[in-house]
Amino acid sequence: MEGIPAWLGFRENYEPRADRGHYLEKNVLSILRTLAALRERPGCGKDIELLRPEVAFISTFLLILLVSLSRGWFFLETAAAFEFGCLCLLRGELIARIVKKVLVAGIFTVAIFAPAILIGRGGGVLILCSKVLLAVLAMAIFSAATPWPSIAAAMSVLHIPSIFIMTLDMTIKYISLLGGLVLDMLYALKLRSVGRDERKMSSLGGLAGTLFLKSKDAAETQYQAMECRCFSGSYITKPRSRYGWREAILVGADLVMLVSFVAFGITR
Amino acid sequence: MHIPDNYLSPATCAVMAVAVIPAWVVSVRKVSKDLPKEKVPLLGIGAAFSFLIMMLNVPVPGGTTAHAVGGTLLAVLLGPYAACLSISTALLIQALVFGDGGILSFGANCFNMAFVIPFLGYFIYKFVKDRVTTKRGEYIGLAIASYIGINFAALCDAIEFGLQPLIAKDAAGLPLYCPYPLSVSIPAMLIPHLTLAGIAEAAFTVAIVAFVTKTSPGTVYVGSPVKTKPLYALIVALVVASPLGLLAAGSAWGEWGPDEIKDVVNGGKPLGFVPAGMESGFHFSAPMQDYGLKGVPDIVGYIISAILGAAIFIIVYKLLGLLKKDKGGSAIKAKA
Repeated sequence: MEGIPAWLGFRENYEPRADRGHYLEKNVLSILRTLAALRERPGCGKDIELLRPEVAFISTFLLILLVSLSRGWFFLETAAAFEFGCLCLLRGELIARIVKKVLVAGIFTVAIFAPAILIGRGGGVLILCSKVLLAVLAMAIFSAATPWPSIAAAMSVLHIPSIFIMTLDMTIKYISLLGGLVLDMLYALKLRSVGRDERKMSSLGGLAGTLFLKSKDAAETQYQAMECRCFSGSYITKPRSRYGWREAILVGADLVMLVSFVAFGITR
Repeated sequence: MHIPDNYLSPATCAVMAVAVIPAWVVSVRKVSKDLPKEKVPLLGIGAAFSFLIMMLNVPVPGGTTAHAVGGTLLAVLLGPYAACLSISTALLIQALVFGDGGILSFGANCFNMAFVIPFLGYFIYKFVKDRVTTKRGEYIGLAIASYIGINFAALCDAIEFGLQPLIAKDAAGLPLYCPYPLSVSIPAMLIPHLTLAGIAEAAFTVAIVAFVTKTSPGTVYVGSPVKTKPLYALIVALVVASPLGLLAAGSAWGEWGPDEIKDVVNGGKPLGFVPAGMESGFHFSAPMQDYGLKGVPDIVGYIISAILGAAIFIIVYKLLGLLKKDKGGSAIKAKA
């Protein structure tokens, strides 16, 4: 036993103190959820998802506008019938995702208006909440049933400035890219911190700084790559398919909504 | 056939609710065990069918109306247990959103329409089907089964109505709830159903089963492809046809409001009073009472109600289909 330090002779059972605060886990999970939502490609060729995006876009815009302008229950019930009719044609998974979004919006709206209801001024609140829910539902159906590239294509068909589409396009792509990067850094941090680490929050600055440097690098590389590929900043879309019976039905439904709004929706 | 609130005494409502609970429990167990995950949305389509068929009223002698239910139809397409759940859901939405059928009498309505019709209809159909060899014989069996099913339900309805004057009276001896005894309620309920509603039920059942067997055989036979497009097309056709139900003016027998019952003529003279239980009983105001919307033509309200109702059932059952656990086989298939 000569020559071996005494402490090596002891059997040690090191049990790290349980860590408080689950900020790493929470961040990892929330980033994973966002990335999963972004990277998922909805629209696997089911009926309503095959609609030409520009028609769906205009229809959604019109519906939201009419719902906001209407002054009574009749039009809201008509809009609900139309939106529910569209919703029931989607796949179960998409319906579940949309319903979750609408429920969150509903709870939020009711919470905001709760004081008005509590002091007895809730007369018009119900109609306002219904308007919010219907507008969110219309938007959620559009976004769930239309994959992002189709939305960008629809915007270019509708002559929305290219710079706007490009900014949105880049944002979506970079959220996904940089999200992956943050995830890797969070894993690295998690692997390196053993036991209770009181100064873990101070690493947040390092994390954000690294992210900024990386995104700056990525932006420069992206610019060069785009220049190399002769990208001038304009989105040119090739006409895909012709307008078919699906679009005709949707336009017909829009006309019905418009007529019912003019006939009854303004006053009732 | 939808019993409104305050036509049955609370005690009768409680007994009927207790009577239908075992049917629900067994149906839920059977459906969650036997029905494959991909077939769960069919329950929603079934509920939408039943809902729309019940909106199509037919005028019957005596100025009242009656309607088909589609109970045997759903029992043959989905099985009696799934049909029981589908029709119960349809009745629930009808009561809560459209004010058709009462909240307290929900148990009684489910017993008559969601339990008696699908189970009785299905077993008569099976009995005949096992003894005939031709397709024609099978359809005749189906027509007989649906005809007997709806009439037996109407009889149950009539007995529940007719017992009320015997079990609930005030101090002056006047009935508190439904004022008509069995001698009035049984013929009043059975004559419309034996004549028109029964025939409508049989015709709907045979026509729709024939259509579905041809266009989407997987709905009926195991192993064949389930095509939902023809079913959706049928639902759209029923939605478009739903305002036909408005052609039949007047309420169905036993579905009058408290404001109407005083003037209902029976045996040549009006009733002349509103039963006390009806006047001061439980009142629930549904958002779209009687499938109508305030200030717009009935036909518009009817179509909007039909679309809303049908869509709600399909959405709810598609969501329930997600909750149902995948069986091993289909999970592997999905991965592949």
